[in-house]
Amino acid sequence: MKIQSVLIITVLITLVVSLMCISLFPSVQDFMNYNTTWNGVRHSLNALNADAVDSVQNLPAPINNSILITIPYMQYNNSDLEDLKTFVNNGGTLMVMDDYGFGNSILEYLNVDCRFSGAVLLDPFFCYKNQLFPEITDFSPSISKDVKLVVMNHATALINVAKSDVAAWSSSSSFLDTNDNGTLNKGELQGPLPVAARLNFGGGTIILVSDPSLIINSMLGRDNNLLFVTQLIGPKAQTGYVFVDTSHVVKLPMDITKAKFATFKQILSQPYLLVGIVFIIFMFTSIYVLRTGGAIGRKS
Amino acid sequence: MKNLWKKVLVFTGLLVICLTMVGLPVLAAEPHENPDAAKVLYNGTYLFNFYSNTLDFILTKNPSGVDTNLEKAPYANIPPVLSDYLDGFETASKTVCTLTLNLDKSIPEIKTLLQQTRYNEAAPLIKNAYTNISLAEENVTTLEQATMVAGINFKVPQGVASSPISVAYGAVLDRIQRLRDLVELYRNMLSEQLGALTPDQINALTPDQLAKLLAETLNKKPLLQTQITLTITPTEAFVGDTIKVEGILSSEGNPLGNRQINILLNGLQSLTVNTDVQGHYDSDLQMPYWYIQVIQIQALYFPNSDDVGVYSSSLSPPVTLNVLYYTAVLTLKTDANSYPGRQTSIIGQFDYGQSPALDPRKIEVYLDNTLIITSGVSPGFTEKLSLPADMEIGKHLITISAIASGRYNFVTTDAILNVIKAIPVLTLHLPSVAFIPGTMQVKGQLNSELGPVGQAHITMTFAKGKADIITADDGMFLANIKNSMGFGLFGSQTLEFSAIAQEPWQDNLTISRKVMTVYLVNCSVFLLALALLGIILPRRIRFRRTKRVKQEQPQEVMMSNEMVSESNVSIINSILPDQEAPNINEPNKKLFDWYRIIIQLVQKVSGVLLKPNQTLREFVGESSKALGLASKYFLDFTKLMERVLYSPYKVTEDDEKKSEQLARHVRESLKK
Repeated sequence: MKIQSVLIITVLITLVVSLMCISLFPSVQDFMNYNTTWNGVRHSLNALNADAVDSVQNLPAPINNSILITIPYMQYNNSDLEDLKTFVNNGGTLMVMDDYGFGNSILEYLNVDCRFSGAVLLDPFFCYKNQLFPEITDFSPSISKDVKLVVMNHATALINVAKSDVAAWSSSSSFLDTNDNGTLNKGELQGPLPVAARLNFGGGTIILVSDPSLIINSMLGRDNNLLFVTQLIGPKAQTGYVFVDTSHVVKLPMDITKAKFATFKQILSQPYLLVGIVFIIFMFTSIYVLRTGGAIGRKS
Repeated sequence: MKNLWKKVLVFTGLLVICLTMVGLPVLAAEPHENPDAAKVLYNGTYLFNFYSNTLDFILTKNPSGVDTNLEKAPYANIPPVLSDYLDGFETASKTVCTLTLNLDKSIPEIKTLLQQTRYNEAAPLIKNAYTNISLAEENVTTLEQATMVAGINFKVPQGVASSPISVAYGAVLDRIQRLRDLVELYRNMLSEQLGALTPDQINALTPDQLAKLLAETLNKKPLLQTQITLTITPTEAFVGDTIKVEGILSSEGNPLGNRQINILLNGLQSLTVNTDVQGHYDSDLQMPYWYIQVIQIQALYFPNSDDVGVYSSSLSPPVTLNVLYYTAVLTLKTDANSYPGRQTSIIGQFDYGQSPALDPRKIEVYLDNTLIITSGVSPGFTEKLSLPADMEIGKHLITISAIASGRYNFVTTDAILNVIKAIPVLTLHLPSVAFIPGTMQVKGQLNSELGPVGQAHITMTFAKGKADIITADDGMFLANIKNSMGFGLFGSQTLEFSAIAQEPWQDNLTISRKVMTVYLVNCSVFLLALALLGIILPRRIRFRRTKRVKQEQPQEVMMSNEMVSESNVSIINSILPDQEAPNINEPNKKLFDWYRIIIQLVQKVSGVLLKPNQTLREFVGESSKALGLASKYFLDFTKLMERVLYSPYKVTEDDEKKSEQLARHVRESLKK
């Protein structure tokens, strides 16, 4: 066998196996829309009737009827920030869900006083399993009485929030563990601390939630988390279009390849392109066969 | 080659890993952990702090604080074994809080009653206070038990005394002790009032017996009994009117002058009046604006200053006053449907019956128990309400309350406000057939029961086309949906229509309609292809047949290629050298050609096919029955062929002639 043929076969096998792996292996990255395991958002997107988008620009719905959920785990550039500002100014609802990411850069750009603390919110008493899962039971009147318990997962708290804007507070036994030693020390902020807020901005609304893990597959269905998120969004949750911005969550090569593969499959699904590809394959196969020569069905 | 394949496999594996590798998260802090796999950790210090906070609320007599603190108890993360004890702590805390509040109120009241020698009223209160003290002691024990079990569970007794959990545990026990002290204080306060009477004595007596015993025990000498009478004039009065109260206070037939008499309305003191030297008292009493049908009036005397320890207290028998006031019936009527962001009307009517009407009358309008309007209205009125734009759809409660005024009692009535959104009705003009590619013009109008749906955002999708437009103020719209190519020839396609109204009172609309669609280009290509197949293919087939006939004419054999299967031709070809074989001389070729033709003819006539594993002789034998006379010539020809094929024999011109002759004989014989 010629070395050229071996290389071609190798490349083909690599491509086929890789594509199979990409298709079959589930994504395991946090907040990834292809991830169906505990830390993905695949099931949550279905529950929220939301679509994943890779850009704030050109949302496939009217802005004043759109809700954009963003998890800012990667730095925003000025163009992205300007897009977000335009989106909210034009009547969109922006939900920033952050704990230890870059949410504050959005708030700084929008000139909003509130901030994400960035320190871990611990609640050793009102918690699920351990203090890293604070239970939230205090809500503002804007949240319906049906929401009784929200469980967070490695959350933080909001600071500099006007009392009238707060939608939910942590319990009095919670605190911000700024020195990461797991216990309450002198100078550390004690609860109740704001964990969700709703602010009017321009023509739209900004919603801040101090824990993006609220919408991961293993958390959204827990207690009243889903109802809480929809209540925070407001009536638009039922009538509007919900989008989750996946462009600022950390992606692995596998996830990038999955996304590109999905785009590629979408492009391929266009009928005329498909016909063209089939034609090209047919043409090359024919040329190859004709060059090789020989007869079909007769011994040479 | 083996090494090469190994390298290929390793290279392939590395490439696959690179494309699908799993990396580590970039963030330093863990954004979350799997809740199902998370470790369970309990914190006893916070449980004891929670207990301490609750007890602080009890000690500071703050029942709402106790309730607020305890209503979160079900969400506490505690070991399951302590769950029942936490429930017990919750119940006991609430009970102790209520009991201490009751004791705070009843002990001073008992003290006052005993000072006023009102033993009949004091006796039931004393019995009740002792019961409350006993209950409070039991519940404090429950609190202590719950704390101690938690202490054992968190191994507090074995721990260091200065540890946070030990300090927190100690703080709870300290508060429990303070509660015990508080209950003990109540017991002592009560005992001080009762002199030598013990709790056991008190529990064993009925209230009457206790009252008698109190009178005997608490006074050094027997008291002089007093009597008090009361009459009222008139016995029927409107609220706010004045009535006259009078009576006489005496003791064993002697009038008691210059004594203070309290007039009680339904047990509440409302007037104080002094007796004259004959023990007579009288006064005007303005009736309160209590819109109730009857009021019980009583006169009360209890000894003061020098009378203490000399006279007993006395309470007159109750006198009933019939209270008069005007009532009205308020009926409300609301619009059948109301809409968010629009005004709605409420029509009200006061019916005063025989009573005079109050005009104007102040009313308060509540929407879902929230006050929204206050105004003065006449007996028949219409109120316009502006509903909020974000009002929830559904049934809402409207309450109109006409507050009490003078002789007019308050009246309140509810009505249901049915808030809906107007459903748009779509008039859509679609072409009967849509052509693709091309532009489909769609026009229509959106209307609802409230008029045209203006400035609504309309989205229409059809095939691959989409149009986004805004309706005009009259609800009209016109859109061109451009459609690009797609697969298909013709059939119905769905037009998806959705309208999002800007006005809060208009509902959104989503419908779909079927439109007959023709893919022009695809149909044209398909028709062209059909035409090509219809014209070219028959001509091509005819041409090929003609060519084949021409090729076969020199041999004068009436056979067509179609009649001999490809497999047999290949068999013959495999047995016989090809026509173009270079190493075969001309006579030899002719011999083989004749034999091939004869085999084809025999196969056709006999229906027996020459199989790949058959010898020529076997084929002759199998087909001979169907050949009749021709079989003999066919066998001779076969023998000649075997000689040529399987021996070094060279074909002569005679053989060539003989083969032609045998072939003709076979053909002639078969014709017969």
